[in-house]
Amino acid sequence: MKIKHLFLLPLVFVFACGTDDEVFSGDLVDISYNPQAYTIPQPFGYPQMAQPSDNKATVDGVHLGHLLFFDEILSVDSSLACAGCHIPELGFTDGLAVSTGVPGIEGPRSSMSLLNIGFVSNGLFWDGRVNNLEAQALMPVEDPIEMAASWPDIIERIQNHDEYPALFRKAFGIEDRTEIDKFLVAKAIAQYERSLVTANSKYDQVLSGSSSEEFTDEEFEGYLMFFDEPSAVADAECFHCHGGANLASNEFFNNGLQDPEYITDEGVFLVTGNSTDMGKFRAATLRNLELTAPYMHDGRITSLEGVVDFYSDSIHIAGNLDVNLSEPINLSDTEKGFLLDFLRTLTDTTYLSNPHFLDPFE
Amino acid sequence: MFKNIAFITLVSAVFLIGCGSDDTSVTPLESDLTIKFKSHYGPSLLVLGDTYNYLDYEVQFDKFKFILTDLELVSDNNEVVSLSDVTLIDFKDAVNETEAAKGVSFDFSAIPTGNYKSIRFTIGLDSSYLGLTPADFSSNDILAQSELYWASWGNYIITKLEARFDANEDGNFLDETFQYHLGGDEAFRSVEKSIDLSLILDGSSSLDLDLDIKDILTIDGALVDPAEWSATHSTSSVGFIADLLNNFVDAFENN
Ligand code: HEC
Ligand code: HEC
Repeated sequence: MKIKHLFLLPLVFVFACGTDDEVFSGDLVDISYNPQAYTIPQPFGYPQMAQPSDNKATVDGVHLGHLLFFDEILSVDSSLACAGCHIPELGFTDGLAVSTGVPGIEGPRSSMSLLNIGFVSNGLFWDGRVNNLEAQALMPVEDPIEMAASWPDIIERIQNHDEYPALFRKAFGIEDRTEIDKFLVAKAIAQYERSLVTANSKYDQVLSGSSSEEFTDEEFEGYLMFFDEPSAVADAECFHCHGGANLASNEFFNNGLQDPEYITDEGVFLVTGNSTDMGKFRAATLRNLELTAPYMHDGRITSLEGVVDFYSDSIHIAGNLDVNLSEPINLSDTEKGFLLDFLRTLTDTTYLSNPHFLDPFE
Repeated sequence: MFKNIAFITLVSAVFLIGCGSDDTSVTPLESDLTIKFKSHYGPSLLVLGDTYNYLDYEVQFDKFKFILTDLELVSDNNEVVSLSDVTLIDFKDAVNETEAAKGVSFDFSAIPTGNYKSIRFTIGLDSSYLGLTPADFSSNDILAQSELYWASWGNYIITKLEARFDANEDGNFLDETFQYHLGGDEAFRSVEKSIDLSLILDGSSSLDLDLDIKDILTIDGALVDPAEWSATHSTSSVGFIADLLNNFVDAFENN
C-alpha cells in the first residue's frame, strides 16, 4: 500500500506541472517543517567532517537522533538503548571487556567509543565491515546479541508513539506517520552521532594554545616518545598507527595482540578472507582512554599500564605483524611512566557538562 | 514492477520536458577511458604477502601506495585534458594474482574524442600544497587521512612502501624490515609518458600504466639493502628519499 502510494506521488506532481496543488494530505502536514543546518564543530587540527549529501545534519534531525539513541524503545523488550552499551560517562563505551545484549548473551567484542566518530572515514567497527553510520545504525536493533528486536515491530512502535511522528516530520519533512521507516531512524541516529564532537583535553589545549595549560616534563617526554620525536627517550612508535587529530587510523593492522597459534578473533580476515588480513583490527582512537577501559577488541587488557607493558614487552610475532612493531620497543619503567602520563593528557571530560551528550530522558 | 518504474520515468521525462525546459544542446564528441595502474616486482605482478627474492633475502611486501596529482592527457594538437587532481594509488587489494592483475583502476567518462600522444602526472604534491594540513580538507578527502600526514615534518607522506625480509630462510620475515615513507617539501616529481591512444565517439578504451618497484629500489645498480636503510624518518634521509623519487619517474611503463 505504502509503496504504491510513493510511486504515485511523483507522477501526480509531474502531471500537475509544478503547480502547488496539495494532493496528498497526511496526518503530519500541519506540523511545520523548517530544516535548519546543524553546525558540526571542527576542533583544532581536525578536518571538516564530511556528511552524506542525503543526510546533512539539521537541528531537528540531531535532536531526534539524540532521543532515539537514548531510547530503550529500540530493543525487543524496551530494556536496552544504544546508550546502554555506549555510555556517555565512559566515553560512549560500556566498561565491559565484551558487550552484553538484551538476551544477556555476551558478544565477542568490546564496545567502541563514539566520541568524534563522524571523522572515521574508512570502515566502522573493529574490522571495518560497515561503511557509514547510517548503515551501522541499522544493525544493532536486529542483532540477536544486541537489541534482538525486529525492525517492523520497532517501526510500528515508533509510528504509534505519541511524540516521535511529529519529530520525524520536523526532521525529515514526512507528511504521514506511515512514512517512518528504519532508514529514517538510522539517519537521525547517524546525525546525532556526527554531532558527538569534543576535543578539549589537556593535549588539545597545549597543542592549540587555547589555554595556558602546559605539559609537565614527564608528559612532554611521553609526547616525544609517542611521536618518535628526536630525544633521549626511546621511540614508542605509537603515532604510526594512532596519528592525526583523532590519535587513530582509518587503517587496520596486526599489532601483535593475539598469539598466532591461538587466534580467537580473525578480525578483518572475517570480512575480506585475505590471509594478509588475519588478526588485523582498526587502530582505534586513543582519546579518552582513561574513560574507556578495558582495552582492545576483546577488552583483554584491563589497565592502561597493561597496554603500555604489552607494547613494550609482550608483542606476539605474527606473519603479518606490522613492521612498525617488528623491533621490541623495550621501555624502561621510567619511560613507561612518561608514556602513561602523556596518554592521560588525552582525556577530555568537558563534554559531560553538556546536556547534548547526556541522556535526554533523565 | 520494473516495467512500471520504467513507464513512470518515461512519463515524467516527457512531462518535465514539456514544462519549460528547452535545452537543445548538441551532444559533444566524447569517449570513456579506464586508466589502470599495476605494480610489478621485476617480471612478476606484485602480490602483497607473496615471497620474492631480494638480494640475499626473501622479501614480502606489505604496503605500497602513493599520491598522484594532476593526471592529464595531451592530445596530438597539444590540447590538455585534465582527468583528476589528487588521487591515491593504493595497491592494498593486490593480495593474489587475480587482484594484482586487476590493478588499481580509474574510470573517466566524457573525454573528448581524438588522438592523444602522452599522459602526464605528478607523483606527490607540488609546491602549491605546501603548508596544507588535514585540517584544510574534508574528512573523506585523501589529504585528510592521518596516515598520509606527518605532523613532525609538517608534510604529507606521498609514498608508503613497506616490506619485511627473511635473511636465513627460516620463515621469520622480521630479520629486516623497511618502511619507506617519502615526504618533504621537495617530494614531488613530474612524469610524462608517450602513449598512442585514440579515443573514438562513444568508445571505451583502456590504458595500462605498469610500475616496477625493483626500479624504484635500485640505486647505483643494486637493490637497496634494508639492513642499511630501514626507514626514511629523519632529515638525514633526504638524499635517499630523493633517489627513490627520481627512480619513481622511470619506473612507469605504458604497455
Ligand atoms: C549490546 C551492546 C551494544 C548495543 C546495544 C549497541 N552497540 Fe554499538 N557497538 C557495540 C560493540 C560491541 C561494538 C563493536 C562491534 C564490532 O566491532 O564488531 C559497537 C560498535 C559501534 C559502532 C562503531 C564504532 C567505530 O568506531 O567503528 C557504532 C557507530 C555503534 N556501535 C553505534 C551504535 C548504535 C547507533 C546503537 C543503537 C542503534 C548501538 N551501537 C547499540 C555494542 C553495542
Ligand atoms: C602497527 C600499528 C600500531 C602501533 C604502532 C600501535 N598501535 Fe595501538 N592499536 C593498534 C591496533 C590495530 C589496535 C586494535 C587491536 C585490537 O583490538 O586487536 C590498537 C589498540 C590500542 C589500544 C586500545 C584502544 C581501545 O579502544 O581499546 C590502545 C590503548 C593502544 N593501541 C595504544 C597504543 C600505544 C600507547 C602505542 C605505542 C606504544 C600503540 N598503541 C602503538 C595498532 C597499533
